[in-house]
Amino acid sequence: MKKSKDNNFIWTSFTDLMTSIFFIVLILFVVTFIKLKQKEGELVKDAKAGQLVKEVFDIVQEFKKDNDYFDYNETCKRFELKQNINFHVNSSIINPSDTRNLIEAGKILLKFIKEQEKNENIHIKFLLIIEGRAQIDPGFEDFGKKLSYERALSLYNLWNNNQVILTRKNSEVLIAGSGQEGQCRYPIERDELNRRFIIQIIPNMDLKELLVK
Amino acid sequence: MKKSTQSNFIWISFTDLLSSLFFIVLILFVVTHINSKQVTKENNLLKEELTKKENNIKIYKKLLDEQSNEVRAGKSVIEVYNSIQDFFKDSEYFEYNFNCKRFEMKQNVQFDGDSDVIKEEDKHKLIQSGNTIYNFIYSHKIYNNLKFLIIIEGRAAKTPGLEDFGRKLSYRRSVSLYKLWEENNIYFNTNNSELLLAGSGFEGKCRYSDYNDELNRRFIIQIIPVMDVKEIIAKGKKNEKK
Repeated sequence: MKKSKDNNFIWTSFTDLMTSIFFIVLILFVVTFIKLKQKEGELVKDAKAGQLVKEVFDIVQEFKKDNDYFDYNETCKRFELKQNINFHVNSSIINPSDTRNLIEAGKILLKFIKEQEKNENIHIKFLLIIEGRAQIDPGFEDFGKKLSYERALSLYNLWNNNQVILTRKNSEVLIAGSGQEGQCRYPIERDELNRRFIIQIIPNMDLKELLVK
Repeated sequence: MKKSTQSNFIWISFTDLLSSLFFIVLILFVVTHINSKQVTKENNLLKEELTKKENNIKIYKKLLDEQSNEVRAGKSVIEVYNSIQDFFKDSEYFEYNFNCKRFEMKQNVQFDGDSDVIKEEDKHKLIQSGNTIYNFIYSHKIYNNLKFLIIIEGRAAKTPGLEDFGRKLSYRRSVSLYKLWEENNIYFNTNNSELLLAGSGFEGKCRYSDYNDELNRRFIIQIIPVMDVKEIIAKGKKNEKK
């Protein structure tokens, strides 16, 4: 009789032990599974963002290729017009000899934006900035700002009058004037070259769904 | 006598056992030998296939590398955006506008009709927002390949026929803010920032509707992160080599 009791005791303990181990392992499994899912979610987000980065990269490469009008400036990290459009002193009127080229450049840009618009998989918007600049003239900073804005406006109006309308679903045009300031200006020795405008093309990624935590 | 019979019995069993073992081993040997011949033959075939596959693997690996570079690049982009979001999370001045896809000023600063003068009561919050952006730019210096475009975009309420005037007015409005910041020693155009003064006149994205058009007598401050995609991808490659 005593032996049988002993035996029973051992089996009960053993079952208890096993049950506890089962629960511990179950909890471990659940925790690991949840962690894995989280990690997976992050990875998917990263991969999606990565794809966007790649798309931007590809688009930039594509636009660079065989482009007669725009050039990528590695130092200033922006697209610029290849041709040098210079204004006369204190003037915001585009030289008639430059208009044809500028309209062509606008058309190329418009064609590119339209092509990207067709591609539904790509969520990249373009910020097109026409930034006017003016030569340094101490004391006339305000005038320089106004002049530089008018220079940018001249180009915008030229494009508008020639059916080059760049405000679209995937693009936004900004007319800006930096006056006697701005980044990557020509140095002071060649300051007269700053009587110009710069066209910046900035791809802006749509990260809406990726940012919601 | 009895003992001898017993002993005999053991030896017979032992011999039987050994003989069986001998046969088993013999069979194993034969089978293995035949197998090995076949294996050598197959081995040569496999080796050829393996070299082919190794070349394929090299190609796959290259593809995979490119993909993981992409993922790494994506990771750094998300990191940047999250850090921007965190910075402005509790800010009373800026927020991310998901519809217009830009960080913009929360405070609504209005101008009087045809005026580019900032009202006295708005000056304090505008200076504060300038300081907020300045701190933000400063705290993101650590990110290489990342700079911020700070765009002050002036706008004007619609007056048909006066489009040109509206544009110039809207530009003057953004210049007003620039000057206010300058007077208070808030300068941009650092290594990782570029300030642009813009004027959209009666146009621009995400305007108030015509019904509320007088609310468009204002400016918008946009903060746009600009990343050098090429360098991000190149950096991913460099990190991997380490």
